[in-house]
Amino acid sequence: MLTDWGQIVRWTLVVVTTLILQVAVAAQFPVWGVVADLMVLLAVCAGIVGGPARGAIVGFWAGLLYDLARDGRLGLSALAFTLVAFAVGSLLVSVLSVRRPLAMLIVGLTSAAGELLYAVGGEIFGEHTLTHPRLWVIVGVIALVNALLSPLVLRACAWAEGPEERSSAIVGILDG
Amino acid sequence: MTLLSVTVLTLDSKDVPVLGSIREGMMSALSPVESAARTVATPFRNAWNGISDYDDLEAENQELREQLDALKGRELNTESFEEEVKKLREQLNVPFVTGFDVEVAQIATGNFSSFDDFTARIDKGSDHGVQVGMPVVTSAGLIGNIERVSPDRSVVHLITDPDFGVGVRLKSNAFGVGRGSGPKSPFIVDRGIGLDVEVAEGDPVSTSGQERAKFPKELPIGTVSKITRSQSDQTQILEVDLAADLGRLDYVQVLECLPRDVGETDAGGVPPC
Repeated sequence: MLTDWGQIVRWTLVVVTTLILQVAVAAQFPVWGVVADLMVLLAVCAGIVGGPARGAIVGFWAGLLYDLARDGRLGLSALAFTLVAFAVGSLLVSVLSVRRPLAMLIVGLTSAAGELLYAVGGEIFGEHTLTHPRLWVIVGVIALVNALLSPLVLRACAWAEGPEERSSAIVGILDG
Repeated sequence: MTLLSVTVLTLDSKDVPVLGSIREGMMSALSPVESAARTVATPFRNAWNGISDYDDLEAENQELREQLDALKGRELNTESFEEEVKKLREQLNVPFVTGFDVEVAQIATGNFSSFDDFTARIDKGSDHGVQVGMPVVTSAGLIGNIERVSPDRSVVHLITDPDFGVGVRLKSNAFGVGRGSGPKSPFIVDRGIGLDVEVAEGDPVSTSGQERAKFPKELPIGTVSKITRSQSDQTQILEVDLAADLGRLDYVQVLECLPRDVGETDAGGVPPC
């Protein structure tokens, strides 16, 4: 859990800044008609940097804020991002070091998983997300964009987490 | 965290009012960010769209050229140019909304997520008299109704949503029920049109305005583009090309009336549709 006030403030700053970038930048510049999903990117990167527990906490708050801003079912992104960030954190918890290309691949794949999880949940709640005609384009573009942006966001997450608490996996990513 | 998420989802599906208030607060908090971003980003966004949607723009350019050629042909054949101008003026005055006050609004921003295809945000809210349930139109026809309101923003539920049901009326005065079928897909009228009803491609489709209807009568929806006869259901299924171009929304009009079940009871002086 987050116990250090400095860490809480830093993570809050990162989450709120990402939300503002989502609204002010990502929504204004769709790529092939797809709005990038910076919030799932943040959740995944938090899982990689801080491990499963941190990933779940950051994923939940990032998802909840995104749900409040967007027009879908409230709590759906929070659930999807919590699960996907916890999963990626658990996957990498025992890994000593991950190189940047592998980290980008992991971020891309888990972002895609997060979007699919959201789509499945949305369909259950009657949102027509899984039957969206451009579902695979959305998933593909978000995976690609998030993979490309991951080095930046991983650095932001490493700063928010602080040097003592970072997982060992992040060392190789920051070193390139 | 998972339990907390499920709890929020459950509360939201039960329409707990406090969550609606938090959402409204969030909408208000983000509106200055949206406005500033829209203003600053517009020239860059236009350039960006030119790059990322080049194929779409090329196709649209071709379509517009064809339309221009057709219009030039029509112009030559039209006996009176003034008559055309009069028709255009009528379009601009939105003749089908007479009887209600209108609040003109602008689309506030693009969607924050690619899954939010069935909503649009406008820059007017409860401070301007906008209320949940009010119909929203362009000069071409119906585009949806107000789903959520904050003091200076509103969310429009678009007619393209498969959950958006509308009572419709055909040229032959037959009534049916239609719904959206997704972005860039035709509107579908799949209930109430029997096999004996006379209908042809190109026929106009408008709102029915029947008792308990959500919309005033005769708001244009579109024109019939395809007719399928279903012998098993003894109905005709109509595909309708929407009159309003939902892909290029900019200015819209909110009609200041409410669905009759709301408008007849507690609507603060707003007339029923």
